[in-house]
Amino acid sequence: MLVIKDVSTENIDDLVNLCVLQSGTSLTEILKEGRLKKKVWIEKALKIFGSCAKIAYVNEEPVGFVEFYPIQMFPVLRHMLEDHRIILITCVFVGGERTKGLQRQYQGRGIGTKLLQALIKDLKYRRIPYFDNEKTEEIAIGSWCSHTGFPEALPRFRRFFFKNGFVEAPDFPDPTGKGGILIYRLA
Amino acid sequence: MDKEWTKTGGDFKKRLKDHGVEVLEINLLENPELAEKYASHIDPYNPFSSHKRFFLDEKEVSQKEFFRELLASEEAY
Repeated sequence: MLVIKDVSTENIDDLVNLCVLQSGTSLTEILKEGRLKKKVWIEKALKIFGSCAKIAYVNEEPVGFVEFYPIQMFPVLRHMLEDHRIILITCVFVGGERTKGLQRQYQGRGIGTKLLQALIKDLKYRRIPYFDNEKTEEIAIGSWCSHTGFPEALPRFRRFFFKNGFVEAPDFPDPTGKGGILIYRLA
Repeated sequence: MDKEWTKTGGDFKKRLKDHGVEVLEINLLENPELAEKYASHIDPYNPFSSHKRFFLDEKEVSQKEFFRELLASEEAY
């Protein structure tokens, strides 16, 4: 059974386990540090912003997440869009806890869509302290092709977000000039 | 080491520390004002985006010069 939960102080480790590889490799120390930093970052975000991720559980096992923050938390963009109520998605991932390697059996089952739809539904009603307790106007995401250098991911990326109601936003502020920003209009 | 700098997956920071280099990390999402002051080209849409600066005796130098000096000091030993 699939259940979507907000990240909270109770399940931060589930998000960290999904996001960062664990020890057991030659990179044990650096991964430990990375996991700690991620945990501290989420704890701070919870205090500042409230829940900043949704986690998907299949039979109580964490298998995916969507992570998101107000645009005002990002350098440069915070000035370009300071009067806008926009949530920026930083990551959508489905593939199980990284302790077990990438579990592809969870992919292609609509879990990412369920995560995204849960986020959209939440933001339609949620009042955000960063936005003076107003509701979100738009959800945005930067293409992982243009901005993170995974061109092979572009067709799937676009198909996934278009299917979920996102549209291209060529005029959306992008100081890098790389483009590929997609948005979902809530207001 | 210079050639490996941009590769991910290795504990490069530890290797630098082993060579006596002081490594200072700043989370640019937590310190956006520093990103804007020193690294305005940083990509806010890329969660992996980072910016690196190199110093020798408090003077900022290029990455190339930094590693050249590091190598020279190693060879001196």
